[in-house]
Amino acid sequence: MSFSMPQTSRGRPVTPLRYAFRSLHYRKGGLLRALASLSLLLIYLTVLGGVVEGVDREITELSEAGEAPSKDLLDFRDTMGSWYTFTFVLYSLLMLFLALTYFSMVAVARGEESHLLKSLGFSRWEVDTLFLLEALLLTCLTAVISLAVAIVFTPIFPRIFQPFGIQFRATFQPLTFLQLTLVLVVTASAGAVLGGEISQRERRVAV
Amino acid sequence: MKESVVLVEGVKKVYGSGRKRVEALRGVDMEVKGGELVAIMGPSGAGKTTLLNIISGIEAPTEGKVTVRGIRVDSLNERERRLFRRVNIGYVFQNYNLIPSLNALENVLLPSLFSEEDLSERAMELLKMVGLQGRWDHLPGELSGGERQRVALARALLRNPPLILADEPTGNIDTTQAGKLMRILRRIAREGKAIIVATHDPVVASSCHRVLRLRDGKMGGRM
Repeated sequence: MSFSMPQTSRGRPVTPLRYAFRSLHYRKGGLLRALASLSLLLIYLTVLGGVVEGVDREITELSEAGEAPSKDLLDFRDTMGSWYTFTFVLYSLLMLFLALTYFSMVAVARGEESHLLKSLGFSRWEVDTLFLLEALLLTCLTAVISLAVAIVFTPIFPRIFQPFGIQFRATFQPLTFLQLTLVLVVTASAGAVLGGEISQRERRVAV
Repeated sequence: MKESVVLVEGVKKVYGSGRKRVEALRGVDMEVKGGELVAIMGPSGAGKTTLLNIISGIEAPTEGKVTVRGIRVDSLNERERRLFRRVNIGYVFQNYNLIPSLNALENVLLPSLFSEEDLSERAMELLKMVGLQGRWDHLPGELSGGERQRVALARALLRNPPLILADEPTGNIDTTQAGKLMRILRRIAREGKAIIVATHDPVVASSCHRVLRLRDGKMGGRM
């Protein structure tokens, strides 16, 4: 029996990381929708942050020049500030929602997969590793790509606001980045833990 | 004389308790030797899947002894049963249970997912044996039911287990594909493996060396 081995890729054709990537790639519809909605939201967030920063700067400049900022300007800053906070909370919630629902749905739909892995002799730790890797990959990929998309597209917005007399820099503030990191860590952990827990429950039900 | 691979003695399995008590198996005895292809026939709910799960150590019996190649499966703890399964059992399911995101070759290699060992060459040999070497890079969704089941069979054989358990392997495929699968199973049995096929299809059962009838959790005689 002679035949040539297929040139799949370097190394072993199946590893836990590749398994998780393939799984995500297979369900790319969900990943793309998540990316699109999070990117838009992040752009919105950045623009709002830029507006708030711009108005703040204007108020500081007026104060330094000895002039009192108008009530409209102060109100505008307060409104924008609340919107900024609200949107950031929304972004965090959406990330959390994405992680929780995606992995609960995936785990439920993949009860058979869990059963299969168990019948092949995989340990609980090994099955959990696959689900956790996938949860972490999805969360990190979505956040990093949506961040990149936001960084690329947000500079367009100051030009849109310019005709209305609103000047601002639409760039990421260090604080935004820190907040985002925090959201990522919390979401990835929550998604991973829940995904792992549900996979356990489904496995018990399936077997 | 051929070596006994599976020995089941007085196995009972009870689920639930009180009014919800269900006796899935009520004292099953059977023996399967190396090189034998045995069918367990019975209607739905007869306890076929439960029996296969107990032989493979996925479930523990409520009572009775299960010995596979001299190992008392019923007395193993969960970790030992898992390791036992990994080495001794190849499982084929009715609905194939292939991972939809992995191609045929990767599905065959699934049992070695956490192993450092590269079994790609053996996986390709197995795909060739089941007549699918040209389709190694196809996803399960691009294969017919019969082809999927043959990939599942190749996966069950990856670690060269002495015992293959097939739970309604032809339940979702047409008769031509079923015939092809049974021919492969007979060939594998000739190589010395013990194969137990749970089925309710008399045609499938007739192509096995021996048929055991399971009804209401009891062995009801041979055919």
